[in-house]
Amino acid sequence: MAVNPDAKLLSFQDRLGTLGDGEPKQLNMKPESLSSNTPSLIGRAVISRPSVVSPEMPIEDAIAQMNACEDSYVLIVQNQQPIGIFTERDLVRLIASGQTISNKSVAQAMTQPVITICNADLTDAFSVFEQMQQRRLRHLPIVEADGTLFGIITKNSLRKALTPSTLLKLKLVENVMQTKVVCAPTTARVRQIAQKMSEEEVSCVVIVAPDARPIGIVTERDIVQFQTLGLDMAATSAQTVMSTPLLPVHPKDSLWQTHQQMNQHRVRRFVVCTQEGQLAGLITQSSLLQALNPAEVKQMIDLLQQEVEQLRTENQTLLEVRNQELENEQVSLNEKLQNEQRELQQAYVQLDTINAELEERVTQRSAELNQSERRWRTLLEDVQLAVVGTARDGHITYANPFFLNLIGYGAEETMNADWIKSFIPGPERSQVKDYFEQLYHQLEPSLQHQHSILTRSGEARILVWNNTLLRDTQGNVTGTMSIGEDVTERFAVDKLKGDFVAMVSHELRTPLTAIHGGIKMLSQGIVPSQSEQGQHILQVAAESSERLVRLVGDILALESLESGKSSLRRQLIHTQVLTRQVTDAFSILAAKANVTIEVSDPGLQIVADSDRLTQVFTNLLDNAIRFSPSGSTIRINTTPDYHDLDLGEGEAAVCFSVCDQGLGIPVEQQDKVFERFTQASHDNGEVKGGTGLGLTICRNIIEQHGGKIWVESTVGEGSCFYFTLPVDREKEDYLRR
Amino acid sequence: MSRTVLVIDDDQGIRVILKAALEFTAGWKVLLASSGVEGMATAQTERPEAILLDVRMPGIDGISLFRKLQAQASTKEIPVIFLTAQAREVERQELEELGVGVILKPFEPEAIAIQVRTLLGWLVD
Repeated sequence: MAVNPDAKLLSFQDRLGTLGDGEPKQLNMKPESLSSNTPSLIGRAVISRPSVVSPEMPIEDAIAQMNACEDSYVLIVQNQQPIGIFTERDLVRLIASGQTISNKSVAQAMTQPVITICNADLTDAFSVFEQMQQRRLRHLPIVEADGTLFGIITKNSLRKALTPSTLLKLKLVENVMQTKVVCAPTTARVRQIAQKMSEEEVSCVVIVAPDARPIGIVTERDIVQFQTLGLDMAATSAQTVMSTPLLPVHPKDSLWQTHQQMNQHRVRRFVVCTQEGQLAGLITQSSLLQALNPAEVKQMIDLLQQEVEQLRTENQTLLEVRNQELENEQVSLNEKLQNEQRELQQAYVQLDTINAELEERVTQRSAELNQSERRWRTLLEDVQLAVVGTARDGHITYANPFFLNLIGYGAEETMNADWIKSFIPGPERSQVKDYFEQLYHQLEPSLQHQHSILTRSGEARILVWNNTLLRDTQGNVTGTMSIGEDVTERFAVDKLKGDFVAMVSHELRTPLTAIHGGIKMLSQGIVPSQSEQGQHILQVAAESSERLVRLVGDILALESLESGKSSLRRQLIHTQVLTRQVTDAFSILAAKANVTIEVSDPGLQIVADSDRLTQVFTNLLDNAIRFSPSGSTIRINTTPDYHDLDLGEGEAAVCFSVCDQGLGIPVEQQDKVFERFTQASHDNGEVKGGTGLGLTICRNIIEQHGGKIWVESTVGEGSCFYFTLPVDREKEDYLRR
Repeated sequence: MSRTVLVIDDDQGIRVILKAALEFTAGWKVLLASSGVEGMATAQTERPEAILLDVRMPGIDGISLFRKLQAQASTKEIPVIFLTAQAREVERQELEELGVGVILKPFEPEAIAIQVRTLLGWLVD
């Protein structure tokens, strides 16, 4: 007959459902021990291989099997269906009744029919437990729908399967222990004890000492064992067979602790003693399961629920308070944040302002720097001085346009070139290298230094350098910046001046020597003045004196012309007047030299400095007479409309020439004769008088007039000296005859 | 003992004065040449005991002529005294390194012979 505990089961489930629904989520309290709706829980309680016997099995065999398996029952099964059950209690009852058990089958002693439960109905462990409590069952076989045996649930297995650790931990022994305990003295016989068990319907009897202290226990299982052993139960005293000593369990111990001890010691009950050792009660596994009594559970749930509610309320209150605190804090933080944001905003505005100011300053400074750089760059680019930067290793790091132009190289070729090897002439390299070494080692060389620079064309230019050391931020020398002035022309001019002075010195000293020496020899009587030598000396002295006078005159005249101190006094002059004057002045000298002067002059009017032109003709004629052999002719020509390639459109020139039939001038000397102190000479080395400045003066005068002067000559045939004077046709009407 | 000295100078005045000074104060025989070419030829033919050589001459100048004289076996032993109007120290030192000595123009006619003797190490005649 299957049990249908649906009604109670439903209500119990309802209560569990309520517990589940009403559970504060925050507490998350859903102890597994209170949840019986776990399939594994009931599954754990089921003994799938129950202890089974056939109906015909003798009781003794059944008892032996129970003992061997340590079961409290055997199921009597027929056609795989349980028809009855024989339990330890049944045996105790049997023994108590004094009935013999030998030669009897178990079917004759079993309890029937056996109450079973259908496997399909096994949904809830607690409901099963409740049914077993109601029916006072300690064993509940499980059958399939067709009645075949599936398994069995016992209170023991149920207790083991259930893990009501929380409840058991919560509850104490004293909450569930049986206070009514059947006791017997140590002298009681086993049979008497069995009788007491049967009468009181208890599963055990506590053996007490004379002072009522519990000292042992005899259980139903012990009776079974005694029977198996064939013990004389009527004669055997409890003291002999009782289980002792008792395991200490106290009223204040937790059920969980007791449950664990039951498992550990494999017992089903404990005698509960006080701390003084007095008997307090008895706790069995039924007592433990009673802790899981649905009513008890419900009560516990209700209590817990109340507590949960209370906690929830308290928690809610706490949360609300905390929430309020948090809200207040948030408000405060918000305000603080807003303040900070405002401050940050202000700081940003300030930062923007400062940034703008800084940018403006940077822009301004950049503009100033740019302007400064432009200024310096312009200076460097435009200055008519060489600016060269060199690194410590002697390579060029910078060269300004003036320098590049001077040396004739481009910037790409010049950058990184070796300064000494590339631009210093060989003989000067050592000296330049030494100078830089001294400079770098700060041995106080002169900051000014002069040396030559080789240009691309091979010319050597002389530069005077001012050198400045360049340093990095640590003060280490990194190179030099040099500014150089090209003094080549100045040197050339100085050299020319020096040469001129040397030349003048020579030209002056030479006639002076003759004058001085001659006069001294005559005045000291070294050479008699009336002697032939004396007269010769006088003549030489006189000639030298004249020469000296002319020379001094020419020097001064040339200096005056070149310095620009004497400007031309242009006036309208008639060429024939000029040539006639000159010819007349030289007539005596020409006659003396036996030289004829012929003039061909159409008579032109020109604007020129009459005195200067006279000086030119004088010098040319003087040279011509000196170099003309006796009997030769000197010709003076004046040619109008001379076409000079250098003259522009609309411009004209008059050309004059003085030609002689003298020795002529070698080709290589023809340009040089116009230079100072350079006189034409021939293979015999003879120089015929003159100061050596006449032609130089002529050139100067003619060039000041804007004309040209040159010589065309053939050695052995004679020379022609030409000079031109530009004229203004309209102004001068120079063709008027 | 009368010495023979050759004077090579392109200036007639110098030649006349030098000849008179050396002949009248020292009694030497003075040969004259007005150019480097003429001087070379005279030196080779006459083999004078000394040559007074003007530095600045047209055509072959004094230093070039000096090297030519040194290059000729017949003339290289003839001591050469340079005559110069150059006042610059540098030129004078260069000439002194080449020849026996240098006499500057203008010179003192009464002392010229002494100068020459001193430079050449000639004892007084």
